[in-house]
Amino acid sequence: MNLVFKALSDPTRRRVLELLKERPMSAGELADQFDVSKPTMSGHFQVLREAGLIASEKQGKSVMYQLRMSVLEDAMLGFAQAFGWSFENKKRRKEVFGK
Amino acid sequence: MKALKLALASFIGLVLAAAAVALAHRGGLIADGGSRRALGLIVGLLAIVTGNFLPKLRLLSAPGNDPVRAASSEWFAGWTLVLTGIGYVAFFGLLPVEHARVAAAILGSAAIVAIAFNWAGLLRKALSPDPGPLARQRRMMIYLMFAFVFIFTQACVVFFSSAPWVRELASWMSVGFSMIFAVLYAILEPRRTCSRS
Repeated sequence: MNLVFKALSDPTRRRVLELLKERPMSAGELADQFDVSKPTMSGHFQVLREAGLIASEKQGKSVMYQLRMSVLEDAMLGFAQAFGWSFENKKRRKEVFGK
Repeated sequence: MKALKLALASFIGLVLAAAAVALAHRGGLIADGGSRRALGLIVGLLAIVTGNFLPKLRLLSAPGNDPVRAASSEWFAGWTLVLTGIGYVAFFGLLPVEHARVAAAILGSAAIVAIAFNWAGLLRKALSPDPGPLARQRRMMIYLMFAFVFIFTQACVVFFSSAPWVRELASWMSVGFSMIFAVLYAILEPRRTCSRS
């Protein structure tokens, strides 16, 4: 459970989970959504995998990520989104998403 | 695999708890109303545990199924079962037992029917006899889900009424579910061919 809390504490990782809720996506597609370096994104994927929230599958040259959350973890994500975003200022949001 | 083990351990633990309550009632240690309330609470917890882990297990993510629709159906079933289980715990924790039984039977039946309709088109492709490791894990979870549906459906029927015909219906349902499980096993397990040496 500590790993899940750690995974959900970061807004980038929460955003990755929100994107994967829509559909499975490749590592490249996910990285394009954020203004951070590839090693940083790989680190985020690693944390999410260790927490058991996402699963990866190699398809040819690309790696596809799928959501693997339980209902409790989904509820925790919703809770973290509701209370986590409200504490972020606009500058931090610009650093994370480049917008 | 970790989630599968945790789900399995929780499921078995709760089933054993239900068996212990039934034995205690049979031995006169628990009154009739108390045992029904305890069993209702345990069935509610079973629904919560099963529903919680369901989206993690990706039962419907088989080749041929649209991944977006499969994920959506898994989330629908997961949340439906968790909310139904919370309803069971609330009914059997707060209401008089006779009212709790009827309310639980109606809620549980509605949940099972809603999930069945939602999963109807996807389950056929998920029941693949492929021998791969993911397909094997999926089959194990389908067997576990089948056991849960059996327990839950039996509970809904028994909760609904104490009439003798209901108990007879529950007995015949046990026979029916056993036959369906045998057919399911025959369909799902990959055929092994013997080679002459």
